Amino acid sequence: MTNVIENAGRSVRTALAGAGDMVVFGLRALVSAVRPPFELVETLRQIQLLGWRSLSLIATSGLAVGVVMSMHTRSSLERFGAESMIPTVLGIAMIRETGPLVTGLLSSGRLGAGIGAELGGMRVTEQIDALESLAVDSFKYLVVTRVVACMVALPLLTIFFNVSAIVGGWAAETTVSGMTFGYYYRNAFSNIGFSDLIPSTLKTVVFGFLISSISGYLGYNASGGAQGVGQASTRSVVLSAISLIVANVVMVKFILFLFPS
Amino acid sequence: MKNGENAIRFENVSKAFGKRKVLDGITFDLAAGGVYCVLGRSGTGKSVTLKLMIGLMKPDRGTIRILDREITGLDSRELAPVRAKVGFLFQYAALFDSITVGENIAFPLRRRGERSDEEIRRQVEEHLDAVGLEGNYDKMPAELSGGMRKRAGLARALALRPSILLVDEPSSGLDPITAKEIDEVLMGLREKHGATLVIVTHHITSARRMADEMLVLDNGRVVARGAPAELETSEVELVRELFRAEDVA
Ligand SMILES: Nc1ncnc2c1ncn2[C@@H]1O[C@H](COP(=O)(O)OP(=O)(O)O)[C@@H](O)[C@H]1O
Ligand SMILES: [Mg+2]
Repeated sequence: MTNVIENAGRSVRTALAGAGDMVVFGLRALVSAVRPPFELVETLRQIQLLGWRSLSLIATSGLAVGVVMSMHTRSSLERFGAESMIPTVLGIAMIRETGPLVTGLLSSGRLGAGIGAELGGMRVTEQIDALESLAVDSFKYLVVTRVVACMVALPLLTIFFNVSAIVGGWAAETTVSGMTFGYYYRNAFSNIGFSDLIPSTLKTVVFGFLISSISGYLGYNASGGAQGVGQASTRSVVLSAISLIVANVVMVKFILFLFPS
Repeated sequence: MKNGENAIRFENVSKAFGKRKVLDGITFDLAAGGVYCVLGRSGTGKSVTLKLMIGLMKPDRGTIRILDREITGLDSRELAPVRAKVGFLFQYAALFDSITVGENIAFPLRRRGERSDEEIRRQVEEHLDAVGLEGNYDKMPAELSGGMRKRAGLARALALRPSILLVDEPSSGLDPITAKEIDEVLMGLREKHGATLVIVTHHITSARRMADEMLVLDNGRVVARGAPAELETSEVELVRELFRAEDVA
């Protein structure tokens, strides 16, 4: 009995220590990001790479989510004869919540797994040691560049997701009612103010930070050969998705407090 | 640095992983310009010793001086000038697998600030030539055989013309003929560059062929050190075993 408690206690301690290390790792990346020398070329390359990697996924998901959401919105609003509100409702829902969250979760899968596997692979094949041996600060070159790239890429991907969703929503709507794209588009964005746009964009920056620092930590510190790399990759997805969902709740609470509507 | 001065100096260096003591107060110095082979059973801490030499690992206790600079307390950025003078060939070459062989060798040159693509190309071709890999600039590392990877790793380690070259098991995983070729490339370097060479190996034949001095590690300490001819008559049991192993092979 005491053994069970002791073991449980030990696992909790290890988990907490791991979480603490991860937080320190992430903060170190942020501090290092604003200190010269800047790995500008590599950072830009990462933004391009990470962006490209997720573009088709984000576009197709955006379209699909837009179609589905539009159908739901229509069936709800129809009852009140408020069909003309469909684009507005969809626009607000996408930009405030669905866009950032779905983009974040998709990126946890796509980017988190990628970063975890890539850095993990480099660690276990001694490529990170090789970088260091060539007088390169591997943390800065590999981790900081990816953290910055994700923090830049996530808001951009979210915008892209939202636009795709509006297109999808219009496509679904126009087959039913023949609504024109111009009308749909104008109404989707007409009621969007800064109090919607700024907080949700900042939110995606935080998502980008969480995904990249968690998967960066797990990959950079991977050990144990191919199995260790696989583990780093799957744990990256799971942990960044969970942390993102939790962070989202906290941030939504905070945003509603700052911008009561 | 003149020949005869110390290139590498370990003083009382200890390193443990958890409860497992790998190095236990190890002390030695290696003169500049010499060729040293480090031998020992696998798992005795030969790779750890090499990694300590460029600060890839930190010792728990003791001091390490490289080219007259104490490196024990330095971080990645402070280590950079020391590391620029030390080349490292990893056991499995550790080539960057997302870029071509040529770009692997160009990488340290670009990092050093070399701008002109032509100049980089010229230097890389030269380094590829030197290790017998001419014409492989645009291949990806995955397309190379084990022996070619080692050569490419060697070319990359030498790109900045280091004054110390650390080599981890140059012949591991290679057939005897390829292994011998790698040894020959290493010996050729010695004549051309006059760099200090530290080669970890458990292949006594190649150690004998190359070494000015051999250091035998066991239980976290140097248990024997000397020219190959001296060690042949050593009383130390492990050393005798190592030499006997050769007769069988
Ligand atoms: N990063 C590490 N973490 C934990 N243990 C390690 C690490 N690196 C080496 N070791 C352990 O140290 C010992 C010596 O390793 P190493 O220097 O690689 O041996 P070898 O002499 O074969 O090169 C081994 O028992 C190994 O398991
Ligand atoms: Mg080894």
